Amino acid sequence: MVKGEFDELLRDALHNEVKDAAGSLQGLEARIASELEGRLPRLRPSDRFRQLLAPTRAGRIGQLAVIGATAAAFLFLGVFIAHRTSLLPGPEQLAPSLSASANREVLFVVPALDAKQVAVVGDFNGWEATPLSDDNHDGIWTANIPLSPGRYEYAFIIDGRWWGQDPLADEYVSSFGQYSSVRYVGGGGDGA
Amino acid sequence: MKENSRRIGCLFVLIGLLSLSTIGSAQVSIDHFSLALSALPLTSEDRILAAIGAGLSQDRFPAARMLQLTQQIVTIPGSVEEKEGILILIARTIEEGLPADGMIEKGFALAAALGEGLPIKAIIQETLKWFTQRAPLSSIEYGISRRLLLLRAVRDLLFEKEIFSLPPGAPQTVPTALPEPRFNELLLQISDEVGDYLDGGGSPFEGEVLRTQVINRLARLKGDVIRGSDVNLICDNITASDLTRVALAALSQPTE
Repeated sequence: MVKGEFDELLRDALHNEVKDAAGSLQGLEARIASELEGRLPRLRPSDRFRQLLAPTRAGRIGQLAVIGATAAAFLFLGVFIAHRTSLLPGPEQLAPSLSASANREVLFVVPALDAKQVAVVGDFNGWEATPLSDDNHDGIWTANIPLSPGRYEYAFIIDGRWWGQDPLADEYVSSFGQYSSVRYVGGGGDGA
Repeated sequence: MKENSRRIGCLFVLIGLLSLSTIGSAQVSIDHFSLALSALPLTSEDRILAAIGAGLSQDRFPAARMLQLTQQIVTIPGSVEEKEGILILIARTIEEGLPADGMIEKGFALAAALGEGLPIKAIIQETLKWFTQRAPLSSIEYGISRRLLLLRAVRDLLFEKEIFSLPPGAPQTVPTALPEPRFNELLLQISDEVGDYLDGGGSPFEGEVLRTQVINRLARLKGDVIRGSDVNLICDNITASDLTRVALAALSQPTE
């Protein structure tokens, strides 16, 4: 067999192979995407926290800022319109009251690799321990606590020791030589 | 003979008085507290009564004074949350195994402030924090006095600037006349910020730093908690030297 005839036969064979497989290749991309989606782990709060700290943080914070600003603009517009059309109560009834405002879930998260017990204490629980959990034992302890808009001081208690400098805090205060973290929820704060 | 009879008579009178005072203090039982507290819808009534019960079993617990405070708390105006807060502070003292007499006196001071319409919830929270930080009891008691002085000093400063609170239902005729909850929120936030500043070692003479902290705090609460117009009211009227004066007053006055 001359070389040209062999090439011809090989090309024909490959062509037939591809033609036969074409049916099974249809929708392959969509099937892979669907399969991958099914295999993705469900994100827990601690994973979301890690994502926030991932290298793309600036992008994520930017997205959050845009969403937040849009939400705030709509909220402001809504309140303004409602107030102008007397849908809201008068000034004396609009007095600031934490209990009157809707609660928001605020995530408290702290890394404590070898800890056995982690809790958060603050002025939302009378400075008495609310336990954090680490269900998958990866050393990231979390708790979601519903809070009304306001300013909240808090600290973590890790195996009985005070830990008051949360990197996610808006600011810190010091008393008796120990720091406490401060988170602002709602208003001008970004704690929630 | 006559002299001896007189001496014996005096002895009997003395014994009688001692017996009466013993009976008087023994008469204060947990039932009295339970009855007094039943007038308030408390969320931690069981805890408070358990602590008072533990206190009553101690030798030097001032039971009559505690009952007097409890009865006073029930009758004064003020929110149940804040009234309960005062009782929780005393309960916490007893739970920690500390002598409660000093805290009971601070309870009277807090109740008096509440009766004047002052917002004491931030002081209660601060005190609970100090307990959790295991601060010495004497420092906690001193801290309460200082925070109370600050609260009154800031209220007086606001009055001086003609920023005052309106009685419930009264119409707002001038921008500086605020409904009581709005006035109290400003008062609470400003005095608490000055207190935090001083506790953190801030100098009262750095008035600009202190003023920046106060304004920043109010600005962060603007919207959901404090109205923008109320923040502006403070920005326009309260100066750095005003806050220096308030801080110095809190540091220099003798505590209650």
